[in-house]
Amino acid sequence: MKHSWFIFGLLAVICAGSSCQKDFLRKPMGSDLNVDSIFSTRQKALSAIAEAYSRSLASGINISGWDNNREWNLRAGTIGHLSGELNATKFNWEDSWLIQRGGMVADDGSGLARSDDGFVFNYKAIRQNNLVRDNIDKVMDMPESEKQLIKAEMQLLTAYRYQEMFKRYGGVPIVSQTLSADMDIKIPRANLQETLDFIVSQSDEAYGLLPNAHDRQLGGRVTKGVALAVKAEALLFAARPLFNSATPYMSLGEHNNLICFGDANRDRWQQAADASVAVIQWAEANGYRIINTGSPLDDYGNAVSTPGNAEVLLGYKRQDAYAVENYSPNSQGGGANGMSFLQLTQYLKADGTEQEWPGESGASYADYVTRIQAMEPRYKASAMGAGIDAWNNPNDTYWSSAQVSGRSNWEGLAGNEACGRRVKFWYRAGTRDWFNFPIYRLAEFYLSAAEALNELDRPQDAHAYLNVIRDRAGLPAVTESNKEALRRIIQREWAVEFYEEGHRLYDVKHWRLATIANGIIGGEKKSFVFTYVNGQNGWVAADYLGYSVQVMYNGFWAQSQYLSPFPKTEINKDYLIQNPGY
Amino acid sequence: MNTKNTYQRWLASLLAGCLTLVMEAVSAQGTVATVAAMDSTVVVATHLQTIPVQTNVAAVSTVSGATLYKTPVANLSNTLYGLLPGLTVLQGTGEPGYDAASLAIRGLASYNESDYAIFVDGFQSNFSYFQYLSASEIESISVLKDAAALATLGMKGANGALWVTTKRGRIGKPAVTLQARTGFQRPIHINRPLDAYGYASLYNEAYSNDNGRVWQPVYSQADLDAYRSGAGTDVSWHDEVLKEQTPFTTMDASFRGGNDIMRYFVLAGYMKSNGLYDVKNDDTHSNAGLEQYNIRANVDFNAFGIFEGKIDMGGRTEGRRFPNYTGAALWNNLATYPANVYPVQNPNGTWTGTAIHPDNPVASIQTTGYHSTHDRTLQANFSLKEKLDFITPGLYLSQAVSFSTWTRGSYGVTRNYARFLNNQRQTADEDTNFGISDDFGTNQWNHRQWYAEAGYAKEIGAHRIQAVTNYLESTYCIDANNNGLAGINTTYANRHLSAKFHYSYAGRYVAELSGAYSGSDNYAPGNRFGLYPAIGLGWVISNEGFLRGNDRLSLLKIRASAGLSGYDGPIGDQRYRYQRYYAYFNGYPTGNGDPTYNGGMGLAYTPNSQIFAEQSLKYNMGVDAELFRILQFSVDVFVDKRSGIVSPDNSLLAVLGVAPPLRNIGKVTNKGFEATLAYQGAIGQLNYQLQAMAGYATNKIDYMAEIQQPTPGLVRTGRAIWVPYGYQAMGFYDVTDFDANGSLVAGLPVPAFGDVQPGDVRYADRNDDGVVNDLDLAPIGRSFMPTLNYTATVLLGFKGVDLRVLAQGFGGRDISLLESASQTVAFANFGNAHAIANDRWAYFPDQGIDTRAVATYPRLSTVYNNNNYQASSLWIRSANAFRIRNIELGYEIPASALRSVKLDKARVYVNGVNLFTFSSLLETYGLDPETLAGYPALKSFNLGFTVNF
Repeated sequence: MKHSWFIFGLLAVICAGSSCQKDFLRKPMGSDLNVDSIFSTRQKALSAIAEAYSRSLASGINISGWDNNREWNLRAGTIGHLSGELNATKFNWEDSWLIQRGGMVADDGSGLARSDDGFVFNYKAIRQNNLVRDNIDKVMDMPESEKQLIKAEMQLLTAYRYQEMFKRYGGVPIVSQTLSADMDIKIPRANLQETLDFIVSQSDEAYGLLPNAHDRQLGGRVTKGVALAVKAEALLFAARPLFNSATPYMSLGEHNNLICFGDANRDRWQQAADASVAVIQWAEANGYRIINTGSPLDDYGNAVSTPGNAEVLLGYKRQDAYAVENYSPNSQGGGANGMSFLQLTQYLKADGTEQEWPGESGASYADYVTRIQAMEPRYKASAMGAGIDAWNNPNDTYWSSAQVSGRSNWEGLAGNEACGRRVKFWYRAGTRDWFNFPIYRLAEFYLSAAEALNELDRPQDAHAYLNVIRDRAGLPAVTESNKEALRRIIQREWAVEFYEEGHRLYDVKHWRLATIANGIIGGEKKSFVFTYVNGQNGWVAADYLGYSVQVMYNGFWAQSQYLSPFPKTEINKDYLIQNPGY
Repeated sequence: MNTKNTYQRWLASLLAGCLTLVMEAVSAQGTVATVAAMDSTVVVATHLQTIPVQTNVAAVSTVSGATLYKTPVANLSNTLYGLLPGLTVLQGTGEPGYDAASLAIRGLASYNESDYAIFVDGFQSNFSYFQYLSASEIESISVLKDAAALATLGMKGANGALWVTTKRGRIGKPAVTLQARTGFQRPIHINRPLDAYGYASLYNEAYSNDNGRVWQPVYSQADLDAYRSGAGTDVSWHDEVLKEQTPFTTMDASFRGGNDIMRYFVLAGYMKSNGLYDVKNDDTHSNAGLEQYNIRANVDFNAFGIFEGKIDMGGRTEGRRFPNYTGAALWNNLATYPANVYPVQNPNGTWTGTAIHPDNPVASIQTTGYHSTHDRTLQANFSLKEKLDFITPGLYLSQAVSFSTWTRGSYGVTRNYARFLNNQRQTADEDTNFGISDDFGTNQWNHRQWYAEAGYAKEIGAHRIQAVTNYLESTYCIDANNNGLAGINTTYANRHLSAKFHYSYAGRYVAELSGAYSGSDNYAPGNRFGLYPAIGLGWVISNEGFLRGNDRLSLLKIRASAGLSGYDGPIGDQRYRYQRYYAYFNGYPTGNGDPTYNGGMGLAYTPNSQIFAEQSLKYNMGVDAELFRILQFSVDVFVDKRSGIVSPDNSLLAVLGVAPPLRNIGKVTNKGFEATLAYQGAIGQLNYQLQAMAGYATNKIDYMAEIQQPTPGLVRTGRAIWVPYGYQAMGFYDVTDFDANGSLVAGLPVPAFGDVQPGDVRYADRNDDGVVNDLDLAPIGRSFMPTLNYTATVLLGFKGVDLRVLAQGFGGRDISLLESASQTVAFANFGNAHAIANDRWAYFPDQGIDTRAVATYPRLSTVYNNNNYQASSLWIRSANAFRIRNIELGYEIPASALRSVKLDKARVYVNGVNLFTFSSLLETYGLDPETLAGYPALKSFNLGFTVNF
């Protein structure tokens, strides 16, 4: 009896010890976040919305510094390096350097793609959008109207992200719900038409729900105009010859409809023209305009650089000096590689005529100064000459030649001038680290409209839109009516007006330009090479002796490069069809 | 190797447990005692039970505190070399207060973090408490290795455990022990850079190489002559900053005794270890140093014939001081600042320094002030046992609580100084007044544990039963800033029910069942507990009738165990991976003209509701034997099948839109053996004992859901953990490999690391695609973790004189010379050149320089060369070593001489630590095979005495 009493006592002690601490192994509250806490109040939900914007709009904009997993984007460098607007002459470990010389690959050595896009991250952005869309109804202190508005915003951000994939890959898997790991998530690529239809329908739906404008403190969130812009851009790429064709650029056999519509249909140009005109009409009715005060350098500088200016429907906002280092000449990454010679020759002189440049034999520095000073204002708003203080930041020592040339001196103190240092996004910037990369700038839709109308054999209508842009730039109006000649003029206008804005790479591919292999992306890459006084490094004008045009390296081009590769790791999971040639 | 445990005899134990006793026997009597092979008083103490060694079936190695005391070093981990088979001890730096060795039990069995557990007096502790325990307060340290020893530790046991037992009182008259030892520490080796002449000569070459291999010396012949004659600046920074040697002292006094009612062991100790810097100690200067005081009070008491109580208190303070300049940075500067960079001071007494080499090493220690930290550590345990023999003989209950705590405060007196050269200010630094820094003691942890236990032990005829069950709760809290990647999740709770049942029959057949039901707060409700059972079997063949009493084979035992244990470590960068976690990300600003920033919040990772502790299935077989009562050996063979290693599951699709979740999917096999051999004998009055031991462990990754690799060379699955990957070096490019334009001739693979020139490293194009790039990577050596550890010990006793020599070595370990880049990569980052650069490739025929035939080092460059310093086989070296870890010569003063001064015992000795190192790395490159860079490891010469009365 005593026996059992003691055993009972022991058990009692143990039970007492544990039962009074039933929650002993419970995870403490801490400050962890879960989905319920995030969507408990409006203020917290705004954080989830901010993250949706941050992810969704980052497509093609390299704000992630060194992106080791190639998740967001390129591992250093920018899209402008891949398109031949900038030469990738320095930093042989950067993706831009590697892709210029070796092309995009589906497998960089670790199964990730080395390309213009972090494919995986598209779906992380879309998941965040869906997270907000699916949970915003839980927020207690938010009016129903705002919830509906936010759902529409998320819908449009997703449509935007699909549009970004559409122009890079063709048809892609369409994920319309939040997936979980235990579902059947082997979603194959939708075909090109389905992908386009999805973008258009989502944009249309969002258009119906979105406002024309947000409160001032919410500026930067998407509006009806952005919904129209997403649709217009998708329809433009659908009309251009890469997709709008009976046969694809390379055969995918039975899967050709992933990368080609299967017919060349003039109606697609009509839809593109209508959609672009719709953007312009909405914009002008809602206070947006092409900034034109008669001072081209300042007008263009403001349009591409000033936050919240009247020309930008949607920009990528960032305030973080480190994050924008790929775009700032005052950093090692952004400062080392300047404008290519090809890009320089897209610009006219301020009087609208062609500039002549010396060849390999070169000329004096005085000759350089004379010729570069004669360039049109948009050049001067985009680039900084060798030994010349930045035109777009006058009387600012931070943007003087001596300052900027000293900040990008990795791998040698000299030789970073190229055909112009990169100052486009820093008009009268001082030392600000605020950065407002234009995603949809109204000028785009003037050129889209002009391009589409020319294809529809309406050159006068095309002139009307094109010359708005020319006029703002201080250039004489275009009157060319030959379709092919006008097409070349419009294409050149795209190259100049949207230098470094992430358009050129997709424009030259979707136009299927014949010279893409021979100078634009592939072929000889030229630049200015300067000679210096007595071992100087080119900090001020007095350091320079002369300049010449030299071939810096040979770019890589292959047919496969028209569209981007899916990462090998994803292809290996057996649900995606790889684009041809990878 | 639990062999030693299995023995009964003092002598037999090679393994640690008995070495001390052997030494006491040798020194006290001048003879090697022979003891009965089955001394039933020798026990093996592990978690939950103390088992007579003869029926132990677990793999446990033990070393006594007295043996550890024979190595006079500050950090307890540095006393462990070669004493515990199965324990790998890799030496760290010699910096006072930061001198811990890194330990691993039976090699590596997981590619994730694989921390072993440390228990002190039955309660879990951590390395910070363990490392500066004094050897004088330690009774023994055991290493627990197999499932039979570890299963009861549940999810703390998979990576093995160190089981520390401190000294307790003994019944007898009060015994007082006074011990002191003092000595001098010196670096094992310092790899001094080239002098100014050597540096300048090679720099001329490097500059000319970069200049298109057109000779263009930076230093003229006159400059070189000046360096040679001593007229030029030629500073040996090591000589300016370092002393030749620095003192080390420990002292302690202990009192030990007791009676039937109460027993006590009380110790007060002191230790001081100084640094090598040649700087005074005062209010504004300090050498590096660690000064420690510790107190131990262990008391046992009995009451009413029922209660047995224990109170253990172990506390100490550690004071660290060092110049206000990081040790690692200082040693890097010593290695990388060229001898001719500037003189130590300007003629007017101001400090030198330049923008490129701003931190004059002498100024760094002499004028920047000092920094200090003060650590306080306490472990306090109380346990009460109720012997319930009046209910049924052998039944007991016990309860115990333990509190341990650590805090660190820091305090500094710091200043900056202006740098001048040629009367020009070189940097923006100003001479400032001394300032005070104080962090008000923000570093701390505390650990609370309690348990309740019920046990039963009984012998019925030839049957002997020991059974115990124990319920434990443990809460460990740490400061967020010390919590590594787990951040704010600072509380670690565990709950643990364990039991052990040990049965033996007639001392011949042994069966043991043990296990734990072990839970952690890291996992989801309903998934928090794991069951970890183990079985152990033993057969003591020498106790069978046909062998009993046999003097040729006095011990023969075979034993085997199998069972599970777990590892409840941190998982990736977060705890609680079962929960859906959201985190702050980039965010996004809104607003035009007056933008406001909005923090971003999104999904940080995918939770896995099934996430759980890594699991280990261990098998162990051992044989213990003694022949002719003079030769003992023991062998253990083990296999550790690791599964459920937490790894990202890369098989999930991108359209899921989240980072791959972590799952329990990785698998590793680790296997090996340990063997010990001991032999003792006597030649006349000379008694001797020879001991040898070896431990071997090798591992293979069986599965890790690896991302797809582009080339078989990069696949980790199927290879050992931490194998280094790199390129296969094929010597150096010759001048004939280039055409007239300096381009590689057609047909040679082109490296993707930038332009190359003659003398650059040439790599194999393993996949023959014409380019040397990532696709040509493959394993180029072995892991840094040695596969083999071995030890030889010689003990000699002659009358009152005793000698002990302990030699230890390891093999199967590779390192890359680039790991000590400050000493191996010449001139990079405005750095220095060491002797290794003398073997460079160079070809300047007009200057009479042509090393092409004998070069083993690439051509020199003034900046880091992206091609030459790729990870490649060129830099991989075997980092094996054999060291004489310890030599001690002692003399026991005869008792007859002590009687007059009323001493029981007195012994004096001289001792040398790390006196000799045999390593090709050290001989060839001056690099210590274990301490590759930074503050060097130390050797020392010591003098000491022990007095008992």
